[in-house]
Amino acid sequence: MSAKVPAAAGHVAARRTSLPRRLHRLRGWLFISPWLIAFAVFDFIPTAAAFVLSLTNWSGISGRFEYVALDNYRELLEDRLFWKSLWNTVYYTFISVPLGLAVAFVLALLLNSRIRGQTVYRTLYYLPSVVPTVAASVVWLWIFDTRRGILNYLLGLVGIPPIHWLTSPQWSKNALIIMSLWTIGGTVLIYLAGLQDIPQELYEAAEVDGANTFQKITRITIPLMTPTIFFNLVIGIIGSFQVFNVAFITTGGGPVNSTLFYMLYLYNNAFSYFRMGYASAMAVILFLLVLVLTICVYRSSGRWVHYA
Amino acid sequence: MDGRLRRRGLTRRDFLRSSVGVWALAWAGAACGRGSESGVLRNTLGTPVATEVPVRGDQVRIVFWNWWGVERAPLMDKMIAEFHRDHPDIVVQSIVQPWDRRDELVATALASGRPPEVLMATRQEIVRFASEGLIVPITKYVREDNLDLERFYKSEIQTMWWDGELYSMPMPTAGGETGLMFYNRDLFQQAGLDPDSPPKTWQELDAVASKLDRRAGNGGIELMGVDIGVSGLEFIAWLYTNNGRLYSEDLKRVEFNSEQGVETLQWMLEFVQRHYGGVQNHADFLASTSGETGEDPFYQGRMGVTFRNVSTFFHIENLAPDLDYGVALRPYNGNNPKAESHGVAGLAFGWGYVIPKGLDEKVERAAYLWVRRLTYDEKGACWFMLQQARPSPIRECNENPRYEQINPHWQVVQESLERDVPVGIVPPQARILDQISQQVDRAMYGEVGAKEALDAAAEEAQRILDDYWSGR
Amino acid sequence: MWRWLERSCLYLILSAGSVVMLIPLLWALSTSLKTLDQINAWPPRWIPDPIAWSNYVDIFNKLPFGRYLLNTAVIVAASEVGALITCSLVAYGFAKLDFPGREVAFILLLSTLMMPYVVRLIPLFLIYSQIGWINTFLPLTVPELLGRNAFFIFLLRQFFRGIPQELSDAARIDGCGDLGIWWRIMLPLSKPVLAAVAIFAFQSAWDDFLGPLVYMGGNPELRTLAVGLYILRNVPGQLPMIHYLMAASMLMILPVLAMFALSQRFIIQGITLTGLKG
Repeated sequence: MSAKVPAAAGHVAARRTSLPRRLHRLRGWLFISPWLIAFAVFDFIPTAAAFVLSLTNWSGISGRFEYVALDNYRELLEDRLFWKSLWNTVYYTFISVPLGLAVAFVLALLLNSRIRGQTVYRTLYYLPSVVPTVAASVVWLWIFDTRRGILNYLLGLVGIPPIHWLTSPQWSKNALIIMSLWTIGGTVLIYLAGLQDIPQELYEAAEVDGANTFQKITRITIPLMTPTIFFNLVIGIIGSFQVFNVAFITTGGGPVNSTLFYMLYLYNNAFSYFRMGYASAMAVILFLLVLVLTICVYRSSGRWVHYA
Repeated sequence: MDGRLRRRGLTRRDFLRSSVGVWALAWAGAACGRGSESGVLRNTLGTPVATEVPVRGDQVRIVFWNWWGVERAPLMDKMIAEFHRDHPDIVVQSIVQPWDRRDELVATALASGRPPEVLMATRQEIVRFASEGLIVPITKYVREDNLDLERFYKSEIQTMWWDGELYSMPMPTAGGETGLMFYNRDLFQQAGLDPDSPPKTWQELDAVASKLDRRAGNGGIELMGVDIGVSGLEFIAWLYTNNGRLYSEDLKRVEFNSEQGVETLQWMLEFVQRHYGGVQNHADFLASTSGETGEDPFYQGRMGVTFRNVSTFFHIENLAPDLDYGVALRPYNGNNPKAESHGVAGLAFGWGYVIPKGLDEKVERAAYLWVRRLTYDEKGACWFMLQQARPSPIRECNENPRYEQINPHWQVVQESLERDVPVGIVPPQARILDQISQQVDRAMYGEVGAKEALDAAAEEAQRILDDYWSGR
Repeated sequence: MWRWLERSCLYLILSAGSVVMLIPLLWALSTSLKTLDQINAWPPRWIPDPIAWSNYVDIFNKLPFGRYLLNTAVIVAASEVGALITCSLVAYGFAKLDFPGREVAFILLLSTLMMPYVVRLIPLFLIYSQIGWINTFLPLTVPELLGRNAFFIFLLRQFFRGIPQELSDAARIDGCGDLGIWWRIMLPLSKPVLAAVAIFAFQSAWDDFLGPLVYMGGNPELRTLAVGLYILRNVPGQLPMIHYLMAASMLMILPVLAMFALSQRFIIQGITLTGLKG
C-alpha cells in the first residue's frame, strides 16, 4: 500500500526528523502500539491462559488444579450436550446471519431514501437494540405467547394455526432468530454509514444512462458496500457463534435443550458446575472453529470486496 | 486542501478538547464524592446508617455481600446499627448486589482471593466452597459460645454441615420450599368441593383436579385445576412424598430411579396427559407468566391448587390481597403405605453466610459474630424474619404469637417445617440436578418413557458421583 | 405517478415496521406506569388506571441514581475518547500503513473477539487483582483508552481503506506527516462511521453491566446505572418490582436515543461534499 514517495517528499524529510527508510516503514507498528500493549496484557495472557487451563481440571475458584492432558477434549467428543449445543448454534448462525444481513441491508436502503422524518424512522428502528435485555425479555415472553401473544394473533388473521414458539423444541430456535432480527439496529447503522460514502454522482450518472432502481442497487450500491458487508459478515459470524444472552434470560436452554447454545452450555460448565477446565476446552474448540471460518472469509474477500 | 471541506457545527479540535474535558471532570466528580472511609457508614442506598457509636478507622470492618434486595435494606440497616451498638469495635458494611450474573461475581471474588468477609451463599455453593477449602468452618466458635444448635429444625441445621464441620447457620429457611400446598377456596366452593378438607393423597388430588379443570375451545387450558409442576425439581419434590429419595444415606449412590421414583414420574406423566392434554398446553398456559412479571394464574384465580414456598404469603398479601386461599401439606402417595407428606429442605432454597479463608484472627471472629447475629440471635434471625412474615429456621422464633396474628395458616407452616427432610448435597449437585431435569423434560415431551428417562439420568449421575468420590 | 406510488409504498413499509418495533416498547412503557396490584390484573390492560407517574420518582428514592450517573459518565467518556481517538489511530495504521507483519497483526486483532469472555474472565480478573486495579475505575477505562476494542478498530479500518490513496499522497506532498493525514483526511471524510462508532461506544459503556459488576462490585460508591438497574430486578422469591424495572429501563434508554438522533446529521448524504475529485 505504500506508494513510491515522489522526489518532492525530500522536503518532508527535511521538515521532520529524518528517519532511515526501514524504520519509516515500521511506523505502522507505532500507530498500532497502544492496541498492541493492551492486547498483550489484557487479551493475549487471558486467552493463552484459557488454552493452558483447558488441559487441566481446574474448578475456576480453587487454587489448585491438576494437569489432565487431553482428557477434557476426549470427554467433550463423547458429550451428547456438546454436540447438541454445537448443532443449535450452527443452526442459529447459518440462518440468522444471512437473514440479518439481508434484512438490515434492505432496511438501510429504505432508511437512506430522502423522506420526511428520516431521523424519526431511523431512531425508531434503532430503539429496540438499546432496550436492556431484562426489559426486552419479559416483553418477548408476552409477544411469543402461544395463546395470547400478538404474533400468533397476527398469524391467525391470515389463517395460520397458533405456533408454540417458545414452548416447543421445533420452534424455539426460530423464535430466538426472530428476536435477533428485532435488534439489528446496529447493523443497519453501519450500513447507513457505508451508504453515505457512495457519491451521489454515480447514481445520477446511472440514471442518465437509463438504469432503474434494481440496477442501481446491484451495479452501484452493493459493489461499493462490500467493505461494509464484509465487516458485518465477519462480526455476524463471530457474534452469533457466541449467542448467549437472550437464551440465558428467556428460555434457559429449553425446552428439552433445543435452545441450549454452545455459549450457554459453556457458561453452565464454568459457573454452575465449576468445571472451568472443561469449559476452557469448549472455548478453545469454539475459538479455533470461528478462527478458521473467519480466515476463510477473509481470504475469499480478496475476490469480492472492492475498496475504493 | 482544507478549503474543500465544509466544517459544520463542531470542529474536530472542539470535540477533542471537550471530550477530554468531560472525562476529566467526570473523574474528578466521582473521585471527590468518595470518602466514607471514616466518620460515616453508608449502606447500599448511599445514605448514612444511623449509628449511635461513631464509626472510626481503627474498628474491624466487615464487608457483607448479600442479596436481600433494596426493599429489605432498611431492616438490614437496623440490624447493623444494633449490632454496632452491641459490638462497638466492629463495623458492618452491607452491600446489596444484583441478582443477575451472581455466579461471575462470586467466582471472581473467590478466585482472586478478595472475597468479602461475610458472603451470602446458597446451600449448593456452601458445599462446593467447603469441599474446595475456600471457607472456614465455624464449628469451633459455635462450641466456644456454647450455642444450642437444637434450636434449629433438624433439617435446617443439617444442611449447613459438611464433612463433619459446620460452615454456617441458615437464614432464611432451607425448608418451607416444597412442603406446602396452596388452594383457592372460592374455586373449591364453586366446584362443590369442601374448602375445609383439602386433598391429602395423590389420588384425592387427581379427583380434585378433574372437578376443577376447565379447557378452552381451542384445546388449551382455561383454568388449571392443579399445577403439579413438570420439571425435574418438582419430580424430586413428589419423589419424597412417595417414600423415595435422591441419594443413599452415605451420598455415594443415586436412588431416584428406584421403584418409587419410576412410580412417581409415571404418575406425573399420566397426570399431565389427563389434566393438561400434554406438557405443551401446560407450558403455553404458564409461559408468559414468569415470576418476573408478577403475573400469576393462581393470584388471578385461574388456578385451583398450586405448590409454592413460604414467601408466597407475603406475595399474596401484596399482589392479591382479596384471594381467599387455604394451605395444607403436600399430598403423598395413598397407594404406598410407607409414604408420608415430606417437604424437601435445601433443594433450591436455602442460604447461609460463609467466611472465607485467610482472614486475620480478629477479623474472622468479628465475621463469625455477625453471622451469629444474622442467623442465631433473637435480635437478628428472629426479628428479621418476623418483619417479613416469613418463618425462621429456629423453632422458638416461629412460636412467636405475632405470626399467628399475621398469618392464619401458621400452624400448617410450622408442621410442614417439622416434616421437612434435608436433601443430600454433594459438590457436583448442579450437574446431577441438570441431568435429572433434562431427562424428565424428555419424558414429558414424549421422547422416552419414565423408566428409561430415570435410568438414563441415574447412569450419568452415578458416573458423576463416582468420579467425585474417587477423586477425594 | 410511479414516484408517488413508490414513495407511499415506502412510507407504508417503514411505518408498519416501526409499529412492529414499537409495540414491545409501548407495553414496557405501560408496565412502568402501573402499580403493584395492576401488574397482576387479568386480563392485562394497556392503559393503567390509575397511571402511576410516581414510579419514576420512586426509583430515585430507592437508589442513588445521581451518583450512578456520575460514575457511568466516567466510563462512557473513557470509552468515547478511546474509540474516537485511539481506535481510529490504530485503524489508520492497519488500513493505510503497510508494515511487515500487518496481516498477522490483523488476524490477531480479529481473534480477540473469538475467545468467549467466560473463560477469560477469571484470568483477566486475576491480572487486574495483581496490579491493584480491582474496585477502581481503571479496568473499565485504561484498556478502552489504549484502544482495546477490536470491533471499532475493524470497522474504522474498513472505512479508512475505502478512502482513496491519492488523497493521502496529495497531503504528503503538501508536507503532512501520518498524524496530519489522519487528522486532516481520514477523520473529516469518515464522519458517518465516526458517528456510528460514537453511538456504539456510548451505548456499550452506558449499558455495560458485567464489567462494573465484577470489577467494582466491592465498592458501591462506584456503581453505575446499569448495575443500579439490575438491582431493581427481583431476586427469586422476593416481590417482583417490574414496574420499577421498566421505569428505570425507560430512563436508561433516553440518553442513548438522544445521542443517536443527534448524530444522524453526520449520517445523511448530500450535505458534506465528499471531495473525492481532485
